[in-house]
Amino acid sequence: MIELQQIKFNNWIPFYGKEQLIFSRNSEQNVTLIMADNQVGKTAILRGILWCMFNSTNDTSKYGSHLSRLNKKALSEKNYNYSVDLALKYNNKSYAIRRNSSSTSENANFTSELTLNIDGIDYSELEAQKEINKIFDLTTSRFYLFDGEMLTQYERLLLSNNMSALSKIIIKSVEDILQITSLNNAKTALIKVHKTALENFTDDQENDENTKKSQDRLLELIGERDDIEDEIEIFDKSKKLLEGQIEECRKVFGDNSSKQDISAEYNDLLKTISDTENHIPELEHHVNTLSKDAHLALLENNKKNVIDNLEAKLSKAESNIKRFDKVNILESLLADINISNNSKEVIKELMPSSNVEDKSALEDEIFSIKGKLKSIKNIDTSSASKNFLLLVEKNIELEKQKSDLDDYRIRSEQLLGQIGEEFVDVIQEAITNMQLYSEELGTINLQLDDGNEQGSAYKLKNLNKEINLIEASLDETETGTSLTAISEKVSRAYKEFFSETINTMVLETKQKIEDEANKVYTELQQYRVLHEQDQSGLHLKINDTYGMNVINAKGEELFASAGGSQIVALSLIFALRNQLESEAPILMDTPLARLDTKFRRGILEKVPKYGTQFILLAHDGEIEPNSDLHKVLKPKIGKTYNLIKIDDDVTEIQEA
Amino acid sequence: MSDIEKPLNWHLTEEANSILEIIIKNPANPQTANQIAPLGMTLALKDDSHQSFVFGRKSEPTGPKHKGRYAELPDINGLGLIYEATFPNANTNDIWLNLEKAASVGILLIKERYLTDENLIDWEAINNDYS
Repeated sequence: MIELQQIKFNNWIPFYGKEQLIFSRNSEQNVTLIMADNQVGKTAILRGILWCMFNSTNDTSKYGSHLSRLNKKALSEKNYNYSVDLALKYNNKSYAIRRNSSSTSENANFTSELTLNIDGIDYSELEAQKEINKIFDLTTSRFYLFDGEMLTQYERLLLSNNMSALSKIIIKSVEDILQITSLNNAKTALIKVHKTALENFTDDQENDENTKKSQDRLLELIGERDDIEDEIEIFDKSKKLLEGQIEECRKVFGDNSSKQDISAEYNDLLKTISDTENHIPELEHHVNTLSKDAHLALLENNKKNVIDNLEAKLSKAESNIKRFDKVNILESLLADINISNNSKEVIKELMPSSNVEDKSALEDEIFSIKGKLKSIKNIDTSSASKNFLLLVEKNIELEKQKSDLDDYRIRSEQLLGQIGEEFVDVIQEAITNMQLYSEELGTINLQLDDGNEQGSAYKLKNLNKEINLIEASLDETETGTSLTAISEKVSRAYKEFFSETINTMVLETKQKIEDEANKVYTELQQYRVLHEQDQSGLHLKINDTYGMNVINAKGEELFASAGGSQIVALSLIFALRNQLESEAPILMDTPLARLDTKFRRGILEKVPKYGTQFILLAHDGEIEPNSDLHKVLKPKIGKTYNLIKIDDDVTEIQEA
Repeated sequence: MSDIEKPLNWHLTEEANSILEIIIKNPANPQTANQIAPLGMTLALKDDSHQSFVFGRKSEPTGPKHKGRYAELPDINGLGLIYEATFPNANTNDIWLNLEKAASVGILLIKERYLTDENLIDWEAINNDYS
């Protein structure tokens, strides 16, 4: 059983001078509630425990150096000494752990010291660390001391098929708990032994040639598999590195949260400015191209007017020339001998005056008008007219873009003034890096996706299939009686036996975890807010990657989110924890902020009984004083502390 | 019109020429004198005021500037035909001179009405006035 008793801080991050917390050890009131606003020092308590026990703060970027851990006020007073003391009980023995660091000046090296006293016996440095790790080590500490972020990581593990490096770390820690890691190491060693035996077999002249061919092929495939496994290992390492780098970039935003909104707007604006600046030359080119024929479009109206006028003139001229047709008819009547003279006199009176020159002039005019009409109609203005509307449209767009660009620039200048140029550079660099890293990560993920035919993981999957097939056929083949044949056979048998043993063990322990998780899940499920349909009869099933699948009463698999991913994640965490040491404290740092009210109630009602102690670091937004939630917890609270921010560099711990 | 031979070269007044230099600096506008001149001509065809525009003597140092070959102006024959038909009362012999004047007058008009602060031709305004 593990029980935390007391922690003392000296010049530790926000705590100037000496501050201490005494944890509640009353089994009926095992809750220690520590209330503080954000940025006051809640997480510094968690970091203090981790640093004291494991020389780690779980955040090397922010608290990796001595000066980052030394209280700022102490630093300003040239006091370069900081320490954390932790007192706890483990299996009825009293442990007093002390880690301190000190220096003579800001620039000098710090010296650190770890001491441990167990029931009066002193240990120091490595020996002390070994004894502490017997309680729990840094990897498994996440199952005792965890923050809201860890819950999120577990949710990601449950919801995503594409595992992050952190998910892999979690799986590794799960495997450590289940002692599968050491078995896997043994299995790897046996694979190597078998490979050597195979090489010896194929080199041995005594062995059957046909069997040697199979073994040769097997060796070849194993060689290929080794290469691909090396490749995958490199990809995994790169992936972990990239994820770390992306996380660092994210922290840049987080660390500057007060200016984050402004910088986000500024960076969006920079992108918009860049896009607009790129778009404007395209638009200019478009407008320029369309404008080359614009005069033809503008001539369209002139052309129509001219054509109308010319056609009117032509019509008049053609009408005039018809007069000469009438003269021709009358003249033919006058020449007709059958028409009487009296009639001819009347015809003469009707005869219009005309001369040949007039007719010729009219014919010339008609010819000329028709020529002009033809030429003018041939001027192609129609396609230019169609383009002109597009020209106007693009022209408007261009002017708008230019005007917008001016506005964007003015706004960006204003934002730059608010943010400060130095900060902008930092953010800009983080954004650029994040894009770069994300692209690289995407490429690596493709390699690690066993559904991608071009990827290494896919090749490995297929190689393993082929290797298994050959090995299965060898199992049924008499490979001979030579020493190398026997050696190969025995090593193969050992390897297979170990694999089967591991598989059986994994299955059994997984079943245990699944059972435990279902117990917790059943208890917590009543706090779920059910949507759309009643999903009664839900239960959990553990999968290959230690994620949990949610199964409904019909045996159908649901998305983890359908079963309340937060509940599923917590069920898994507590189930794994119970595999380690169920009688241990639970420290949760700001776990409620991202949970709905109903589920917060579930945590406060149920979780205290899952551990020997429940140490809850929370802010008012999570549990409002005297609220219904607070009332749920109140009967179980043994100690309450408030963290009071005195100034930017100093926080005091006050017992309520 | 076809009987009236085109002059070899066409010209712009000094003022129109300096405006043209400004116009072609904006990459969205037409980029050569040969492209802008027909536009100026077309814009000036709205009325016959350009015919009375004092063009100056080409031989004088401050007179119209030689800008290019008449034959190289795009669609110039069509413009001539339309000009002649639009202004039937104008002296046929003056068609090409009138079009040269129109080019300068049109460019001055662009400066006066259809050029934005960034010296971009405002095609929307032109469309509003000419459609």
